[in-house]
Amino acid sequence: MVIVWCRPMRRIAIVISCFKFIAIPSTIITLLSVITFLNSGNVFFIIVVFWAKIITTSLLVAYVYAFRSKQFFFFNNLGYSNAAVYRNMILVDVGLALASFIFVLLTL
Amino acid sequence: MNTLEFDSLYLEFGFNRVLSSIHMKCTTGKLTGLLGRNGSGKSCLMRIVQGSMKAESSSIRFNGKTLQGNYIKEQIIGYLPQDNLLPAFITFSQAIDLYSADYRKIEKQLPDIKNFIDRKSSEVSGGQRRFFEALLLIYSNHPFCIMDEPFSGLTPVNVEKLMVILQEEKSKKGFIITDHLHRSIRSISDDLYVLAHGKTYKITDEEQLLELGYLNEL
Repeated sequence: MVIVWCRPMRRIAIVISCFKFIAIPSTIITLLSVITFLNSGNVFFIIVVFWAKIITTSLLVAYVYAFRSKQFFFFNNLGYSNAAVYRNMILVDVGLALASFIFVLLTL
Repeated sequence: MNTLEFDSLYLEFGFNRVLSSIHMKCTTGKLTGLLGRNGSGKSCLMRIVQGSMKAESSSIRFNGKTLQGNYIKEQIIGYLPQDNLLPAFITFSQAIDLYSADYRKIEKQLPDIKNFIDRKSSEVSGGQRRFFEALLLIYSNHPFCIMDEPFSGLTPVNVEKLMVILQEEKSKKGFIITDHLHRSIRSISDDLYVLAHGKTYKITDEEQLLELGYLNEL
């Protein structure tokens, strides 16, 4: 089914599509980080989990750069440069991770 | 009428000068063909013009205005790469939505699309996907369209169909096309260039294709 999107909706759809390059591994890593954090029961463990998340995200971005960046032309045609695709990818990933960590911190 | 013109374009890989003396002009209403042997730098040239690859120097002008910096965001040039355009996780309907392409026109040219519109691009045959990708760009809103080997993987019937569509649509947007099916490119091009020895040569006489070493015989 073809939908006609307004500009902000289209923008959100593009940002989410950029994240899809790393969506599955990144979500698994975020979930594992949250579970580890919950099991530890230590608030200061967030620092370790946070840095682990940053490092794994960097590795995922490096993977995309090496093996998947040819698919960025799809987004280039939509007005998004390669840098913008990476930015959107990281933005959503870090945003989801932070939201999860904050949620866990509030429940602890 | 829109004009896309580029020249003063230099590209080197180490000590190897790939592009050195380039001049091409493309206008709405004309189909510009680009031929060249393997490794002559056609794809690099197209990526530089599209804006995703940087050259040592370049001058790219749209309607006389120099395009500088991150002009990809202006969506002037649509680019069909040699490899797949659609990422594996994108469905055909999502692609049409995001590109604001005319679905009815695509459906008219590719009636089978009804059967796979909600499927991911990785779940469809390479030929169907390639034809769809070409149509997606043709029916999107970019004033110019650069197509790198659009006929690769297409059946002869679809090659002919695409050639007819390009002829019909050239009144609305400018096209720069390169492919190794040189007869197809020669038959549809209003302006024809050959890229050889890092330079573009405008072809006015087919004998030039022999002189430049692109063909052994006409």
